[in-house]
Amino acid sequence: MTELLVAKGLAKAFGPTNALVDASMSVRAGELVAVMGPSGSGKSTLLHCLAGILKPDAGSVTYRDAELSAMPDSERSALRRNDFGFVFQFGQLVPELTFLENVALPLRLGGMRRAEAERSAKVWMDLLEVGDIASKRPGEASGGQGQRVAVARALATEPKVLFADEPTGALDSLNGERVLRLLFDAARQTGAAVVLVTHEPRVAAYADREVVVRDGRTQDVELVA
Amino acid sequence: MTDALRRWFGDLSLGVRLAAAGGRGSAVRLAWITIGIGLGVAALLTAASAGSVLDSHEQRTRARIIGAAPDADRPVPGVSPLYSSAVFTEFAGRRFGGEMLFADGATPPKVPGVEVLPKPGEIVLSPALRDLLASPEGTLLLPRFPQRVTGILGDEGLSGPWELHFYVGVERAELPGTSPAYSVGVPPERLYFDPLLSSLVVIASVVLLIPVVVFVAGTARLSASARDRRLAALRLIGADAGQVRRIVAGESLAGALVGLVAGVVFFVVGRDLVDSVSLFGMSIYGKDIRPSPALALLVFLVVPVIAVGTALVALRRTLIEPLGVSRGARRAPRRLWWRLLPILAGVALLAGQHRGMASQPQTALVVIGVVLVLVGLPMVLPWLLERCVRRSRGGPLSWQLAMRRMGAHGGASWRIVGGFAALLAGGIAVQALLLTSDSIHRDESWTPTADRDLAWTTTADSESARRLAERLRTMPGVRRAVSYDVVHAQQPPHLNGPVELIVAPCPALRELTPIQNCAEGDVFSFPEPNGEIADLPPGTEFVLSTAPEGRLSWRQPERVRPIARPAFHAPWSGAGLLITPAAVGQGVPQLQHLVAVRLGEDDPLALEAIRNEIGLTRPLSFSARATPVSDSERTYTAIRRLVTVGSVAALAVAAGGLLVVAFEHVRHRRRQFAVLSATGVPYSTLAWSVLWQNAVPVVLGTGAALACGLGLATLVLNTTPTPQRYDWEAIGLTGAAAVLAVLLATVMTLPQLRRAMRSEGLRTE
Amino acid sequence: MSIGHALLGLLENGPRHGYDLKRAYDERFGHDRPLHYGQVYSTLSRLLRNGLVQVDGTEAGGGPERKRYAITEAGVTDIDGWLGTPEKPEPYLQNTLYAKVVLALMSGRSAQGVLDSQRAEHLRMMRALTRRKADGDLTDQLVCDHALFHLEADLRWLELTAARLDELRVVST
Repeated sequence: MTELLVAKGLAKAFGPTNALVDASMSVRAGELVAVMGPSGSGKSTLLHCLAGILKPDAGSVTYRDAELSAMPDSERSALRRNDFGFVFQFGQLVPELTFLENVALPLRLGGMRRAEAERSAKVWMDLLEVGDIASKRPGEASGGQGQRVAVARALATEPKVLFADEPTGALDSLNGERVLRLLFDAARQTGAAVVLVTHEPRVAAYADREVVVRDGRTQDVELVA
Repeated sequence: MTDALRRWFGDLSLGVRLAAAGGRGSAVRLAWITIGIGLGVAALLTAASAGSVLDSHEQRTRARIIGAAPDADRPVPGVSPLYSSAVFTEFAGRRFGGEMLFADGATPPKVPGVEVLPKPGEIVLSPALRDLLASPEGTLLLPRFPQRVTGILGDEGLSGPWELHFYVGVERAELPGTSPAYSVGVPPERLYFDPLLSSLVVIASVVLLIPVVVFVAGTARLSASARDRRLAALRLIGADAGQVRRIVAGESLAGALVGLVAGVVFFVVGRDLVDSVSLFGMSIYGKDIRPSPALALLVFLVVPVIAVGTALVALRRTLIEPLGVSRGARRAPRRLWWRLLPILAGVALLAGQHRGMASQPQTALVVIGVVLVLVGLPMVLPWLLERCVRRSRGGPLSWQLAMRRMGAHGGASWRIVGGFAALLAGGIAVQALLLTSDSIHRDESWTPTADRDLAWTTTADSESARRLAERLRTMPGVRRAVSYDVVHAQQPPHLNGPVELIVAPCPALRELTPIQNCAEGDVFSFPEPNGEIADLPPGTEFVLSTAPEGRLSWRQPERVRPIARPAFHAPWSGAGLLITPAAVGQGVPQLQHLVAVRLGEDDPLALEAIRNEIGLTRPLSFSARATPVSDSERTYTAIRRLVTVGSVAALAVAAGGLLVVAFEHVRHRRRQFAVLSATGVPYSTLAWSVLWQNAVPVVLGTGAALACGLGLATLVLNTTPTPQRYDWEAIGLTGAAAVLAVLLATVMTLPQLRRAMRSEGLRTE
Repeated sequence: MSIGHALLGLLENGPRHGYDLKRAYDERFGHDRPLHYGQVYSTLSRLLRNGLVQVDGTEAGGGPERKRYAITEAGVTDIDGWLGTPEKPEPYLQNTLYAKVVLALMSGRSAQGVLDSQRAEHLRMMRALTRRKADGDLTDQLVCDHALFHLEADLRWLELTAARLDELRVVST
């Protein structure tokens, strides 16, 4: 398997706080990786750096041999639009738009026509078993349904990497499990790699392997075992 | 290329979709934007119609002038001649007029709005005059209109729906010296625009644009946190910075477009209203309010551009990142010098145009100067507020809370207050300009010194003049009344001032001035006001008529006795001769028969009775009293009042913006208020803190606006050679409106505050 | 867990042969350690002796495995009582993992190493359970969840311990 995304020696500070000190990891195509660690360990910052949302203070992130921090904002935006997908704990859906419009949003941002985008969006919503609430808005459906819509939106562009930051953090165990199952099944079907940030071992157990972050440092567990 | 264009369009339409998309917050926001921009657009369209209104007014009044066209007296086959003379009368401080008509034949030229010309003893009235005569206020006027009403004037013969106008039929003999007319109306001419008036229109338009800016800025603030989250979400899923800006542009464009539509609706509805309701005595036909197409197009282009521009500028300081919105780190204290630049540049421009320094003030430069000052005011105001907030130490808890909150997040509401102040300043400046350019008040500025109670009228012959004088003498309010004739004569060429020839029998001459011995055939001479006696040697010839049938003249006799100047004479008339009828001899063709009246105490009722006694067709003229405003001139006053009302309305709209911010503020800080309340801070303290927070910027802004507006008016009026006047009543009104707006905004947020303080404020979302 | 009560519980749904009982037990509870036939029959004869079950019938062919067992009234009462009695919470203090960490600490070895390798091992097990849960039926899901939550508890304890050790290290240096 080829290395899709490689991070080396990342460091990132927010003011006086060091979120990342020395973090390295890689993601291969189609692989499901869990990033684990206690809260405040820097795992979300690591994910943001990997996805090109944050620029690390030191170190490098390369996606398909291209250095992310060297790209201009427009190129990184295009990357987020076309090659990456995101599922966060909450606050990612636009409350003013219907679920269907939300799922179609990244396609339309990419320049697809409205009708076409919404047709494609509906297919993804059906796959995630939320096709029946397409015309509802966030706030009119349960949190679990909302997260499944978010997964549908993240997958609608058929990304190469899906970034998920505590996607089930606000859900109860049963709904969380359902969202995770659908997320990982769909990811396996499309061949997308998944980077999943979680502090729950049970959630991490869905992944193929895990990377542990502690105090801004990564520990590649595979090497120890 | 087309693909890029399509994507641009896609981004914009996404913004439009977001603006229109659900949620109570966005509905409220869209409603505010619609009303705010709508009112602004309606006002701008009205301003764009100023030309058409004045033009129509001019056209309508020109179209009914009888016999003034260059070839009006050339006989037209099939048209019988029409004799006419304009006549004016006054009632209750209102001057209005009409025409005395005599149609000599069955086919007179068509007078606009009149179906059948009135015969002698008949009259045609305008609808407003008919209504006035039928109303209780009109009873005093009724005796002046004894004629039989045979028709009502149509729209095409009136300058406006509320104009008082009439056509009265008279005998040919009552129209001496008039020539026959075969056509009615004067060909239209290009309207002359007073340069002051045209600069006024431009400044007013700029001032009217301010509420639009204020509103868009204010509503951009409404539910800003929701918008920030939304934009961050869009960034996360891959919208680049340009796309986000286009989406924001689309959002504000949606509001602007809806506002434009609303503005057109407001404008059309308001225009129809003008016909049915007399606003401030304004007499304008709704159909005459037609925006100039070029200006209307400009409005339709400029308003969306301003809306989008303002929204993008408001976004300038916020950096939208996928993880949320960061507002530039702690900002440096505001600097004064660059904020002062526009005001200084504006003042310099205006001062440069000061009369005396510039030979001819240039309107464009004056307008630019005014705009610079108005734009500069909202820039300086935040600095001023920041200073005040920082200086503030101590004070009660509510004051402290308000000051700290303002120090922490002033920006947005200060922008609104800045716009508010600019609006106020512009309104005051426009007021002063209007007042000064008002020609009526210019007349009034020439204050008469004496003889305010001297009036006269004319009659058809000396006998009726004598009888009228006799009747008037017995009326209350009349001190003295005399009748005499004036001979119109060519002045001898060697005289430098005019000499008046007054003809009256001895008793009447004695009424004019004390004469001891008077006999028929006597001639007397009175000096100029400064006592100089005219150089009139015996035998001086006065040419009375140069008619083709024979030259007629009168020679001054040998014996002319000096006498005192008649007390009746206006100070501005020159020297003259008093002549007994026998001294004139027979065959004097043109005598003017006058009745001079000296009035007693100022008594409006008596004055109306005197006018009624004189009759409709004979006006009572005053030597030294400002003529009351005629109907067409009243329109000008009405426009001024409309500007007052307009600026108050614009202030109300801006106050609405303030309310939006106040609401948003309480909503945003719901939790803090709840926590403060839970820790025992009383409701009144929090309510006061909200009041301070609303009031301090507005009071400062209003003060700055007053200073700025008055200064601006002074500077602008210095560029024109007119004395300056300020409409303190209107200025006071606008100031009071501002204070009222603050109180209202605060009071309206109090229920929300109370709700926030109850338990629900502590709940998280 | 009491095998006797488990068998009684299984019989409450209806009479069964001894062989069926073993299979049903293994399916639900005996994932790691299936019951021996002998264990089943000795338990059944104890229950029979105490009057908690009775022989419902014997099929032709004889032998203990052909007997059908049914629960008695007394048996139902007994299982009611057992289900109603709260289980004493297991303090897990005899856990080998716990012992290892304590011993590593006492002997001055790196507890961190123990923790890290243990976590990897735990997660490997959890992954297997998660996969099995995805393919299995409700019983599988219940069983796997049970195990997963316990393993997660172990891991949480490990994390906490790691954090405490970090704190200790900061204080001592």
